[in-house]
Amino acid sequence: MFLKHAQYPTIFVGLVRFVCPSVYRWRMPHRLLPLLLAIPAMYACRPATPVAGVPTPRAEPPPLPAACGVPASATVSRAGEAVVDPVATFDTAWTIIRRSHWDTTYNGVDWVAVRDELRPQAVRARTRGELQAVLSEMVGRLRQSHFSVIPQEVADGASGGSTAPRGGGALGFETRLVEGRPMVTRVDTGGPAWTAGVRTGWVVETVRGCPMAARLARLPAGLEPRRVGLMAYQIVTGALAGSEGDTMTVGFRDGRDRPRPRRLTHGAAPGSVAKVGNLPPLPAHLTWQRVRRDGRTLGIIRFNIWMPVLAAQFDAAMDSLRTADALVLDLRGNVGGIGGMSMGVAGHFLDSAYAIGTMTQRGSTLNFVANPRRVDTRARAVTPFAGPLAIVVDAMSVSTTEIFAGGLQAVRRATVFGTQTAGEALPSVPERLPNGDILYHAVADFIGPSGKPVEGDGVMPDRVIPLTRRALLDGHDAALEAALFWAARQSGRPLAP
Amino acid sequence: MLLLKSVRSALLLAALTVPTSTLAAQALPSAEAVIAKHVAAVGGKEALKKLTSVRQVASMELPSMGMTAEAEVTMGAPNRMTSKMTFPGIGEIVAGTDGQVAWSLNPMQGPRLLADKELAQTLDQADFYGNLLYETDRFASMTNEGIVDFAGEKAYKLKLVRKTSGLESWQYFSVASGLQIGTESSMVTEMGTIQSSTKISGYKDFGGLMFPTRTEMSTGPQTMIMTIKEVQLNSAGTDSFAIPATIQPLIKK
Repeated sequence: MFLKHAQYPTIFVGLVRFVCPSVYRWRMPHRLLPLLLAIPAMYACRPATPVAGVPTPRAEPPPLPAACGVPASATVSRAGEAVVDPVATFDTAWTIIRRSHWDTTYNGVDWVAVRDELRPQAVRARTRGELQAVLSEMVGRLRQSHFSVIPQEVADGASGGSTAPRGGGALGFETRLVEGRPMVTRVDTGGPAWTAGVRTGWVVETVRGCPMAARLARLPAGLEPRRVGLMAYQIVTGALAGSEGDTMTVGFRDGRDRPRPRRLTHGAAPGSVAKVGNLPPLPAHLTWQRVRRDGRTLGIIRFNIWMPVLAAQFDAAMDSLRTADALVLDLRGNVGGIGGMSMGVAGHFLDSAYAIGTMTQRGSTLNFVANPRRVDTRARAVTPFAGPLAIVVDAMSVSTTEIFAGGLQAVRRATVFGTQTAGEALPSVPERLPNGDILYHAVADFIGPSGKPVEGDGVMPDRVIPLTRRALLDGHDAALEAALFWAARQSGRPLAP
Repeated sequence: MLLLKSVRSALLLAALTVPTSTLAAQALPSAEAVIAKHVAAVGGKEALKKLTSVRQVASMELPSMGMTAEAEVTMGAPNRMTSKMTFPGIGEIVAGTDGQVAWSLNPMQGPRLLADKELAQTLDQADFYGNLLYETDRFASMTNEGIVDFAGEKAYKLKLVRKTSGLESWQYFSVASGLQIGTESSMVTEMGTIQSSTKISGYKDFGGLMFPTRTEMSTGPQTMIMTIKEVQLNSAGTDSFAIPATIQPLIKK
């Protein structure tokens, strides 16, 4: 007798990740997305067009000021170290994709020809950084998201395999590219930025003296706006990265475009750190609150990543909000995570085992089926939440977030507000290469309930509500407010049949 | 007479030229005989029938994902089973059956009762003596499909079809040792049917019975390796199969 368990395959599937690989770049930041070093080392989940490992900058961008040199890193880069047997790592990476890519045409790419072309470059690589560049070029040829190389020092948390990112500080505000400028879109009440008087709608002009406009001017031309927004977010977030206790000067422009420099000190990052397998340690946090609108009680749940460490917190939040008249899930900036979690969370809102999408990998097709949640955290019988449900997303809503939001939208269980999501949702796994780096690679496609791939178009909200500086300066979160306004006016309705 | 001699010669000639595959087929032991040899090799039917429970403690590894876990599986006569796997960063994934209901619980999906084919399959997997002895009354059919190469050795490939669930599986038994060395099956899950292939090896003596200590299960491009560190016989009490409190409310009275 040996262990025979039908759950084993489910474990595989449940552990397949949907995480935008832009999370993992050279170093771990204090927030979700890592710093991408100065162009041309930067690229998003999907390689910038034209397809190449090195994006093409705009024509004749001005040189970056000296202040834009590489900031202090929370992770010590090993890029300059000598590489050992680069061909073994190259061959392994190439073979992994060869055997596991769900599309045996490799998205129209002659995968053998790619090997023949780039293998000699791997042979000539002398440093880990040079090999990473070759590998990045190779996976970039696929022109798909969720293919990247994560340096070992990033995957292992920088310090002897520590499960905690070094530092892990937070300044307490978020940015997005709004009207072409990096802008403060959210400030955590009581956080370092809030205390320093930073407010929504302020433009992030400089970080440590480095002008953000100069960095953004070097973005490749011809990028889709969502890609521009993503890359801009990565640049600014990376520039703002720091460890708890780090101090930096950030130059803002207020609502009247007056310069407002602020000396900010990183506080502790909220939440906890999630470390699963080969994935780097990632900050994970969830908040929930109860608000009143038009005489109705609404619940808002916000979480930044789909990691099991937050599953129990989400379940507890649902228990606390079970009697709310309506719920709003704010998933803006949620870059993805463990795909299997989407089934459990969806089950809080569905009374039947609806499929919220299908994962198609080589040799098998698996449905992501919601598990109706009929037991609360105290083992009491309950029914899934039946009230109106709004989901708020934006271009930084990626991967598992898109699967979840798109799935519930397609079965008409949720109304989606905000802006179009990233369109980067391929089930993927992180595999260790011989040199210790991680090859993050997609192994399947994901098709929404409507029959369309989530990759590419992502989720288009039912109510498109873009950010505007005017609204931000007025202290309005237009998308969230629209969701709350809508939720407060919905009468209770039966769940989807 | 000449004709008869010719016929006799022809028949003799025909016999001498029978294809080796046919000869091999003719020499194939029955599925029951192959299984009997396996049962004898692991300790014998009488010794196995004295078992009432088996508890296995193992470490699990998913090399491609860089994940490890600790696992415990307890099986008890006639058809009870519980399993628990603990993954760092994920938590506990537990499942089981008391012979009537089957359930699963993990942080990602929450608590769930199994139903329909998934339930029938799980109950079959929990069939204590059926899985130890491969007793014929459990199967709609048992067929020896021939000798193949499996995990580097010659093996009898048996196709078994369960009566209750209809689950088809292919079981591989070493021609040399008689021990089971592999299995292939389609498993019904809540997400769909998944094909899996498992290599079984590292048989060791535990209390006078042979149990494998290594299984390597592949599903698509992913592989999960389980190393069994401990096997306890007849030690599981009723509480080992208790239905978790979180599952109780799901069971319709």
